[in-house]
Amino acid sequence: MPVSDATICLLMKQRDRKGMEGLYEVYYKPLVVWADTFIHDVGLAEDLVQEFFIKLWEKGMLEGVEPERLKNYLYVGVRNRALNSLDKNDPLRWVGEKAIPTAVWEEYDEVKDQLEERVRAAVERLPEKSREIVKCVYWEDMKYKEVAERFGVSLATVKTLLVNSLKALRKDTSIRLDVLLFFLLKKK
Amino acid sequence: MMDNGKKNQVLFDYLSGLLSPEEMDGVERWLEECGENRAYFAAFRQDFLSMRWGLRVGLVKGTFREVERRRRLRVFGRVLMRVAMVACVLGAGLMLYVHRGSGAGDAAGTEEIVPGGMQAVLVLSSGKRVVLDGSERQLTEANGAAVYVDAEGAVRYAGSEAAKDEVLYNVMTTPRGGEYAIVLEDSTKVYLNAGTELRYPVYFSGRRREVYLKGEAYFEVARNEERPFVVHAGGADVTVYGTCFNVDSYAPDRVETVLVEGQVGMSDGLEEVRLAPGQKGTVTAAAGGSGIRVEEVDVYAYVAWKDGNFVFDDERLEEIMEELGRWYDVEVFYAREGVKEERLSGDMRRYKDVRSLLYYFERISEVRFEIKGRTIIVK
Repeated sequence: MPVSDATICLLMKQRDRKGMEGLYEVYYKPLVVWADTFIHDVGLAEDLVQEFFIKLWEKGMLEGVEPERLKNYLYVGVRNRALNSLDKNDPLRWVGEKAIPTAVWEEYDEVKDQLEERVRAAVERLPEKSREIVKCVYWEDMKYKEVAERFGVSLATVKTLLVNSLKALRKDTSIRLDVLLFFLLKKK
Repeated sequence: MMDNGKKNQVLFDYLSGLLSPEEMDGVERWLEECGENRAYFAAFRQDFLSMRWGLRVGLVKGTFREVERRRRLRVFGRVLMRVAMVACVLGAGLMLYVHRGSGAGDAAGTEEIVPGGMQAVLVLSSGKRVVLDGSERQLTEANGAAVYVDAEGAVRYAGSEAAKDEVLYNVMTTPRGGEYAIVLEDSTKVYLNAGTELRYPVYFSGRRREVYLKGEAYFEVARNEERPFVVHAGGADVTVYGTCFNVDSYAPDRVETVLVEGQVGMSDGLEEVRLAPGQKGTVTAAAGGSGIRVEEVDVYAYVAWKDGNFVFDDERLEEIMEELGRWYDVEVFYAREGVKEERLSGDMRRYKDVRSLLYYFERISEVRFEIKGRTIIVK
């Protein structure tokens, strides 16, 4: 049973380190992946979220936060920190507020438990070249240009293969969020 | 905007942060054209992000221990900084004092240096502070648990059934020159040395009995195989199942555990070692995890303090003076750096005048001491 937001808030208010443990258990991975959405570096994203957690603890920042608002507070906080850490003058690698609004994470939250396993399995079913390119880009953090060089193809080919893989993965994992949400709601 | 293939490509680049500002403007203008475009983009973004998250989540490696370790190192750093600042202020103050002293004669020096004694402050979960000075009293915690302070001054907890639902913490602190003993709700006995803080729940709930220590304490843990007792001190966790041991976390960057009997596990967040009776484990805060050092020691020297004795066995003078400083609440000033490295042995009752120990040290070494007010100058 995951720790509830109410319990996390209470323990953090009481300055009980179990609160930190609960925070970690429930929110660490999703928040790291969320930060990675903006900064494209899982290692840096982990640093960012860890620093954020420590700040929350040390400054008692969750004291005035109602449990219902906890999730929102965390995602907005991480997003702001991620955006602030970016070099906004870099014309590339800057995905602004307009492209990825805050509310998007809520949809991730609905599917996160099945997501990893399904996507991994689907990657293995991709055609060989697409599979290798997806792995290089998303698991080894290689630049598109490096990937293009390694496979002796053009940059455009790499990107096309990635877009197509994305489509294929989506079909294969059958995690269409709207569909999934529909089923989730219907069950209740 | 073009056919679907091309459109997807541009949106992919947009979300990947691969477009120039002009190209991004293009995408945003396209988005503003009509609701249909925005819906298309929203669906595409959702696919992109959920696939991206699914692919990336496996790369997340951090553990909770890592977070805790990072937090503790931060605290170490701050303590270190504070110690350095105090040392600077102290140094400057002394210079001033010595300078003045040479001109205007001995201004201070009327203050007596007396040994420490039983004194502590108990902070209840409500934040109420109770000064403990040896008088008998009974207090009640917010959840109805009783807190007894007996005639000997020992604090005892008796949990009530009602107390079990809510986790309340008390904090016991001893000042410099203070010591105190406490019996926790599970009958574990803890002796706090001078300048120490212990944070513990009024009632132990959950699978582990956990307390938080700053400074030095001697633990006699009540046996309970099912619920290990964990002492969090600086960068180390000491896990026990019922045993007697000493934990010293005075140094800002080091925690030492000496085991008297039983068995304990000592962890720095990365690895755990088992200590046997007579062994000392040391966790150092050096970055990169230098590992836990284990060595055989004379246990008596490490735990004598709780029976009211000072025992020094070939110890560095600086460490000896630190301990004396905490107990007699005096500052120590070294006329030259080298003298800190002198090694001395000796033992004495803690409740005697510090002069008799210093006199003894003068007889067995070249070290000389001078007492000015509440400062001991070592030459």
